[in-house]
Amino acid sequence: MANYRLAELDFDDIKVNLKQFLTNYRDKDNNLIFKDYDFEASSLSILIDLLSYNTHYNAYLANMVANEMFLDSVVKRESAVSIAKHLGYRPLSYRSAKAKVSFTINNPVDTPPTLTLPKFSPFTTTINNTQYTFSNLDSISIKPTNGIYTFTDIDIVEGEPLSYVYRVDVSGPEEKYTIPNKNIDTTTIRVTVQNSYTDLTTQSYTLTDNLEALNSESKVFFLEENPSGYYEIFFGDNVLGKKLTSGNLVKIEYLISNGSICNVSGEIEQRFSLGALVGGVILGSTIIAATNSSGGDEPDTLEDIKFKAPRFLSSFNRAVTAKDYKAIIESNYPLVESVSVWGGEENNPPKYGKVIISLKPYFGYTINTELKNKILQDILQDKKMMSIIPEFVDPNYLHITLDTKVKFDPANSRYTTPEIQILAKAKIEEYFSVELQKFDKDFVYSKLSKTIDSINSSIVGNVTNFRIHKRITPVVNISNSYTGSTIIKFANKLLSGSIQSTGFYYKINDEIKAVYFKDVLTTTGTSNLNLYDLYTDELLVSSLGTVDYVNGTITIAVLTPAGYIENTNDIRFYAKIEELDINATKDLILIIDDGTLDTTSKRLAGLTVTVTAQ
Amino acid sequence: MATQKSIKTFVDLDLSFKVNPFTKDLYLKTDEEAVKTALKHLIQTRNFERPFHPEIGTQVHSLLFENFSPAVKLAMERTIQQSITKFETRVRLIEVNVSESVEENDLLVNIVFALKNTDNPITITTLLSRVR
Repeated sequence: MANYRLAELDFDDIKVNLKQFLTNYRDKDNNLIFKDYDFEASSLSILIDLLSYNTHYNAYLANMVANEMFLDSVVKRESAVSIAKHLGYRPLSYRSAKAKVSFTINNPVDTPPTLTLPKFSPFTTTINNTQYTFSNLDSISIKPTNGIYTFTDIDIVEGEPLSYVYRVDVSGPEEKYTIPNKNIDTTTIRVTVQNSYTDLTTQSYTLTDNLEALNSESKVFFLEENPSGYYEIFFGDNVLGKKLTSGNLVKIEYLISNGSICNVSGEIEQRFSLGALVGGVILGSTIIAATNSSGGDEPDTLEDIKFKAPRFLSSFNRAVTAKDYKAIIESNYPLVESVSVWGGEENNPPKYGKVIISLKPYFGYTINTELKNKILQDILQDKKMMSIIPEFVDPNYLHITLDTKVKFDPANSRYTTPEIQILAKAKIEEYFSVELQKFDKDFVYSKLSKTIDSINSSIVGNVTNFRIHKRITPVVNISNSYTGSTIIKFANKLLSGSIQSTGFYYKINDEIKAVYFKDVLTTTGTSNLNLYDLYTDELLVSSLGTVDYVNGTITIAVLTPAGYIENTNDIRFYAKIEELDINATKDLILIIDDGTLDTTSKRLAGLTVTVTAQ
Repeated sequence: MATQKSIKTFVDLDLSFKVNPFTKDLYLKTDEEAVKTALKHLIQTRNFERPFHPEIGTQVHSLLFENFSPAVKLAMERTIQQSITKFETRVRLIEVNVSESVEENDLLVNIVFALKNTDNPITITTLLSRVR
């Protein structure tokens, strides 16, 4: 019996199999009935090509259909959106940047008892030489205080306001109303339903993702992304949400967002111009933002959906376990690059009844209190367990200072020594950017060493020495304490005699001197942190602090610096550790030292690469 | 006494798919006729026409729409020669000649070849007309 092969999917393999099949096709005298299948120009070969193409076509189609059915292998966004729908996850749309402004309207016409800022009043600002419009999503009314009309901390959102009106034809959830713009920020959608063209009575409907507490009178709408990538809304069926009636007019108002382009650093003074009449007057002066615009972001990509949807399902939109908190924050707050959550009972010291959350933003080191409160109120409040209190802690950054010596064979390389140096620096920075600098990302020495060796085949090897360092910023001329919860904590056991700080000014006997810290192991086995003269290395103060090498901590009960050395704004404690690897747990994030060499203050270069030709 | 039976070296389908009224089976093309048909197929196949094998075929179609000059004649003969040499391994090519038929606005392709292991020259002539 012929052995038929069925597993091949490539065109050429299928063709070979078909030819193999024809070799079994013989007459009663055991002669081949067809012989010309091996010659490409023959009629039989043309027919075999046709059959192979047809088979390949069907195999490809079957393969694609199977791929698109599973989130892991899906390649079309519309398929991923559809699968995510089953998991209860709706891909995030564009997110508009938001800012806060406060301003005063002087002498409004007729000095009204209340003054109203109309909905969608335009506030324009210029970012990178391009003008963008922000607006308030709801009208805001204020009363004068002592005759002064001041709008305080008004939330304004970036984007062009648009609206669309549909007439309800078939009532019920089967009729969907498409929002014809892909740049929409879905959080800005406002829906009102007017009874008819003649009956101008309107009612507001709100977005819901939750079926709990819905009844036939709930004025809610549902939102989902359709296969074309547009968002569409639909209404209830008189069981879960109120059903519309034929002839109703659905008005959808929303903002078209520019995403992350409109995020402005907090260090820049951002100004807005109000382009609407308020109280019959025009605000002549520009408004300085109380909080610069931030939070703008691009929509979920295919990869984002693949990553977030299963995690969203695992939490069922309830914050119970640490992973739930992580999934919910990652899904709802796009500006967070990395999230770490642990139970209070795992904390040191334990904080029972609390869940500890640490967030690393994409830009900068910490997230401000306002955003933390916003995450707490808008995202976690109605999802967390009632008796559990979320508490935020800032990430604990441990900087790694690297000194790498690379040997390479120039005879076996198309690169010069400076080029190898540039490549090595770039590779190390890429390693930190990709493999580290997030929560739960450990520093593994051998991996880094291997990564450097893999840059080019001409690299013979490398020797990489590293130190870790902690930064503190004590307030000048005030007593600062680094004990208890503010103790200077490294991640690993420290090597005795390896600790040294950068310089700072310190008052000794009414004389201000440039000093630095160094550890000394005493004869009794304990260790002291002494102060030395920055320029002469003369011992000035003994035992200003202590070092616990085993737990990797430095304690300084009282530190009153008199100032910082020029070009510095912190004190850095460098240390060497016993082991070569560093585990990043809880709030610890390992990042590459971005410091530049400053011999005056004993500050080390964050990354030094020396290349020698062998 | 044993009967002598002729064994066909090459057996191919006839793409006209006509039915033999006696055997009720499809007509087959054998030996010389099979090779002749294959050569015609090869000349008339454009590159990129066969799925996954863009190399099979000739550039005759595109050259048909050029002004017929000695250079075009040479290019046409060369593409036919190359294609036959590469893809029709059953033949030993003797000559390819392309000439114009001014009255009919056509080109005549004359191919002389011999089946491998034989010395009998075989000639096929095919007419190429510009249609579209």
